[in-house]
Amino acid sequence: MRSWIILVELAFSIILLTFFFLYTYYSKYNNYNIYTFDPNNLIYLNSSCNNNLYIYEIINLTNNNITICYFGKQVNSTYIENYEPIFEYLYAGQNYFNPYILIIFG
Amino acid sequence: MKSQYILLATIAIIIILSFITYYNLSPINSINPNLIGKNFEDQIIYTYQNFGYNYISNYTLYFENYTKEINYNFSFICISSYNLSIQECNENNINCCYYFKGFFIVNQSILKYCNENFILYSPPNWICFCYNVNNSNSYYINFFCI
Repeated sequence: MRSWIILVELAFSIILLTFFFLYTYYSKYNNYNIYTFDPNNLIYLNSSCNNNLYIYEIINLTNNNITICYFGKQVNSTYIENYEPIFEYLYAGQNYFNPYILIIFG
Repeated sequence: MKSQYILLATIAIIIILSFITYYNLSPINSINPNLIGKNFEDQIIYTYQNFGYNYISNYTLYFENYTKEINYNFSFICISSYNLSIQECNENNINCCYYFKGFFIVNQSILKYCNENFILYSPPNWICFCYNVNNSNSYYINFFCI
């Protein structure tokens, strides 16, 4: 009887682990796909937080200003503590030379 | 007795899963040498086309500092007919430029990382970069001209 229970538990855990591995594998795979973000499409993201699709941080290298935008709202760094950076890029500037780092969180 | 076994086994599974979750959810590396290299290449071209060649040395400086901060090694060698105000290459240094007038024979001994052999004529005006990005795990080398 005991061995029967152990066998059932073993089968149950194998099934659970398989699903778990598949889930983590595909969720990571999807995250990697985000890196194929075209940087040219993200150049319009600026420190005025006028985009409500992303959570992003802009570090202006000329004056070292850091702006964090949380779905279109300017916030402080506590809002992004639980997010991981999924894309990072050093832009030269938009309309004039003004280098800044863009970090997108997800 | 039976339910005790099930309980114990369930606890064991939960502990195993928690460990796996913990190690699997360690930060994903969002940047890699390939992306950093493409970043450099695209923005050098963008800078040249939109702001002019005077800003290229400025951008390379920011880029060197940026890669240092994220623990990547980045170095480049360029060949240019414009004076980019980047230091001129001698035999040993890196992050430098060869400035040329007339024609210039490019070979691997000059570019160090890139396996390119060709002759540049001036005019037309050329700016070429051979760069190398690496960290402890991987590297990316490329050559491009504007």
